Amino acid sequence: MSAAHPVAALYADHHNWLHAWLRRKLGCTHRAADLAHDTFLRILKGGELPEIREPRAYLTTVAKGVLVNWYQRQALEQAYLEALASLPEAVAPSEEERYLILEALQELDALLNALPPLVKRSFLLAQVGELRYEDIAAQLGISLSTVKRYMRQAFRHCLEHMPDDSP
Amino acid sequence: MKSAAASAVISSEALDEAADWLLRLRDGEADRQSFEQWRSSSPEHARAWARAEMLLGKIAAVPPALALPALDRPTRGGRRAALAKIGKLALLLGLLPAGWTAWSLMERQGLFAEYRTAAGERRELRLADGTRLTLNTATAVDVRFSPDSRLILLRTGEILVATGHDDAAGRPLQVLTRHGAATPLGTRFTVRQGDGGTHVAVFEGRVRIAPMRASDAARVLESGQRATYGESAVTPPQATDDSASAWAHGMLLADDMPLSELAAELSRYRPGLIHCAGDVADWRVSGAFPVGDAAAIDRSLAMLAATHPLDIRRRLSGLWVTLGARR
Repeated sequence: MSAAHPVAALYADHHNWLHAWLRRKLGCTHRAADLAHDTFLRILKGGELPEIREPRAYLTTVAKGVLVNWYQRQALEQAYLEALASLPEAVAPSEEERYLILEALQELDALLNALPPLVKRSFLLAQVGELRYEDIAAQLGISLSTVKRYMRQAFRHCLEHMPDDSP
Repeated sequence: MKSAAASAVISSEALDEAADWLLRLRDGEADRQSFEQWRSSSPEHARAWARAEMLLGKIAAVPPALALPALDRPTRGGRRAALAKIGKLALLLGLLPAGWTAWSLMERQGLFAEYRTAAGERRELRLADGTRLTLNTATAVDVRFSPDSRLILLRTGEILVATGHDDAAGRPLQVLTRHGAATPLGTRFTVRQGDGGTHVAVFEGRVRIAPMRASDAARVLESGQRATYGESAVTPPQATDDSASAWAHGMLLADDMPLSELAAELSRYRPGLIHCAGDVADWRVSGAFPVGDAAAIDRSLAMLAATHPLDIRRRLSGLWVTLGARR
């Protein structure tokens, strides 16, 4: 067994414990199982494992990141459903459009969430809301040059973190 | 998922420059030629720009009325009620020029519109002043008549207007879109609100069009002319004829039209998407195609397949239609 992947050992020794830890946080065993799975996936994708002295502390650190992402996706979906509900039926998108829009929103959300809130806000108001910089500055109580700086920061961040896989 | 070429590392400088070009192009400060020069000067620049285009594409793919409340949600703490969200948007819109407020981010999706048609539906209205209004597919309008004005707010879609005879009473009729106003001077004309601008075609009489943010750019279209206006400019007028209002009789007249354009036109009349594979997008087609409900669009597609070597593939229970070359 000496050739076993280090993650395999981590999994064998601590998966049940992590699942129980997540279940306590979430109160749902299925969701906890999904997120435990995501946690190990993330560790695998992370490449080289650091030397781990405290495996459970390490696992909870990664799992917390997975949890935060999950909460963000939940919050996005919730806000999206509310926005959908506020549209009258005649102009509401069809089922398959809803799904495609949600998918696009999740991608954008993941991309923009690493930005400071005001930067994200400015960017959204400009690019999605098509507001003018002057109006954004007035709305957010910041200067025009700050809005421009934020726009550049957001564009730069998005370009760096855009996934390259083509549709 | 990732091809080796696409995921090759892009230098920090190239990303910086691409971000600068995005800003300049957005603000209309870029010189197109020097931009092209930059982009074609290295494969790395081209790759950085491909990312920029993908980013803009993703943003364009989400309707603002849904994307803004969803993405600009509070980062922590309790969720806002939908009402509070609309209230906040309204507050924000209060800061905008008066003309624009009618076109709030929510409203332009037709949220509060009085008269609507679904995709594939067409509807004729006769207004209190005798004006006849025909709503094309997926259209939303509000009609606001007061003792001294007659306002038609085209929130989304396309209308044909044949004005009544109330003009003498001194109540000017206006069609307002988010790009500006069209004021008929006793006439029959169509107004279509698109993403890039509002298209006006005049068949009888004259129409004055005024972009929302540049009143000095206003101009008068004569009968037989069409033009497109954005918030601050009007394109030079071009010739038009009654074929531009043929939809009011359930027809779409194509004259040497690129297949991709015809597909996009037909797509307006039904939910889902009709699109072209790249190899046939530039094919030219002419003819009179039925438009209206789903059955009419199916007849149009069948006509296309009968007269061109086209293969029509339907997926997702027919919602997604792809036109490709027949093999």
